[in-house]
Amino acid sequence: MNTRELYRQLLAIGDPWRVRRLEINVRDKRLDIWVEHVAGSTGGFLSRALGKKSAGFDRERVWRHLNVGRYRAFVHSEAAPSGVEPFLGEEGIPFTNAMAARVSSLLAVGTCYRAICTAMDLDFEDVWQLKAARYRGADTNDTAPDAGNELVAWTSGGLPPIPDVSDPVWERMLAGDHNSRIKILSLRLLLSQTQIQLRNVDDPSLRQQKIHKLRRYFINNARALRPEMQRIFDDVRV
Amino acid sequence: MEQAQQRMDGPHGGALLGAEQAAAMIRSGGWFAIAADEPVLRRLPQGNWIGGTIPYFMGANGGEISREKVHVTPLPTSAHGGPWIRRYDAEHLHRICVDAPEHGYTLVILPAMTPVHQTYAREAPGFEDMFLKPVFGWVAGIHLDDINRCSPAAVDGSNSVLCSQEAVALHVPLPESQVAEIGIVNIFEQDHGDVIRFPSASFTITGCTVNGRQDNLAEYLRRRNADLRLPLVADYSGSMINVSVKAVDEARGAVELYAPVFPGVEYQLARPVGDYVQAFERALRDEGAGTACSFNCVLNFLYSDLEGRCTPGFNGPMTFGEVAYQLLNQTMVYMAVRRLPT
Repeated sequence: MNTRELYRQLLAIGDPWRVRRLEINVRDKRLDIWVEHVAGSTGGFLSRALGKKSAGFDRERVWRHLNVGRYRAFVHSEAAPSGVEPFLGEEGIPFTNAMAARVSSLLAVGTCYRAICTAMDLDFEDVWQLKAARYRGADTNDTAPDAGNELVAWTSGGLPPIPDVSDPVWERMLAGDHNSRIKILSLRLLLSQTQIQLRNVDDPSLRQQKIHKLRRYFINNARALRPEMQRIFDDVRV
Repeated sequence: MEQAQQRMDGPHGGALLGAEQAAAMIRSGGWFAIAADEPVLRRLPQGNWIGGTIPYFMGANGGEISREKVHVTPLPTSAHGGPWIRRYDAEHLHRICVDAPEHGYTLVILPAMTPVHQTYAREAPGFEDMFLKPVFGWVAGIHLDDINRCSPAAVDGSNSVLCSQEAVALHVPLPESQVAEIGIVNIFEQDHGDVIRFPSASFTITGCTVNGRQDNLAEYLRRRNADLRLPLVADYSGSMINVSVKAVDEARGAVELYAPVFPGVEYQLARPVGDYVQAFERALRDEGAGTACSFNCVLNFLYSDLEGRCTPGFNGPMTFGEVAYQLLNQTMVYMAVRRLPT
């Protein structure tokens, strides 16, 4: 198996696509891969030779793809943007579809930006651009597994347990009927803001995102909220 | 109040000083929030501070307008890991909370009447990590006599840069045993009258609905013979959030505001307040003691004739807007550091 074929396999680039060129920058831990459609490769060449672009081909675009080991991978292609091929990306999105799906799934379970950027070695602006585009396009159908109960560590520290995202306590808190004894400014503002954002919006995935954020508020502030956290949940459950 | 009792010893509020005293404090070390008129700020030495332009203060002797004095507030910090200063233009302001420490607080100063001020006002509630980390601050302004002659500015004291188009933020980590608490003191309440709604986030208002009926806000205020010194007030889950009226252009049928109103939020006119100082003292009774840092609004200074009058428990700059997570008007904002129970 030659190197290009190896990377085609590693990056899950299927037929009729192939790796046309590879560049590996060891110092910057960066991998650049040029992919082309086999049936269209001649067309791309001819288009360039003739000074025009055939249908389906455009200027070269670069999308950030899933990392390969410790290397950041960038896919270059003259093919038109695609919302289907995992190794290509959409117009205006800095990531390939595979990377965008991975980032979206982490955002959907409430992972904070800093954690995503650090873990995947991503630029904050790119992640923000993806999220902004998702909101603009209402493409909020990314489903993601539940974060699971990440609170074992918290609850073991003598703090009251923070309910899982599926607990009805979050919906009741968002409904706002039993929050009168919440005195903390940041929580009041967060609740009001979330209620405003969800008003007249029938989007279950957006609602889940907001519940994840609300839950993350309690996780982040668990120690500071300790004197009243249990009371807040008890009030809402009544 | 339980939380007030747990507030820490350490820096409590600031002091109105001469420029030489302020410079000496900066040179002595520590981290500071500083407010003064622009020429004075320019004379201060580089150091661990951020600041903003403003000549209105509440000092130990009451409200004061000074082009010479400097308000200096020592800030609580951690011995482990120093604070860091960041500057943000309007395009990058959205990352302010992401840049903030996981545990600590952020003090931000925004120059008034700039794109970065407007961006914060409109979009801060939607910034990533907003409300999850403590953010507070104020809007830098100018002497009202200087309008159209000078520009407000925030200052990065680490290199003495005056920023007329950028916000300056100080991100301060705290030890795990401490927590920063942001609070507000607002003497205004809804008058439980008409409910006003707006179709979009804006500083300039024409159309609105009043009790569900289409209306023009300028016309509505005229019909009500409303006292324009009183803000519009929204109830955010129990916290009263003000939006102050800047001007009414009856010819255009437009109302200019000092902060944007938001769609989906119900506003009411504020109930009239008798004596500001008395109302403030009542509101402050449970809140203000032991604060590390606080700001009040210049509109409270002007409308309530606070020059020469004290608001016990508060001293600090009187500003062109306050930040307690989102932008506020006619509100005192404070930050206190509490020690967490072990």
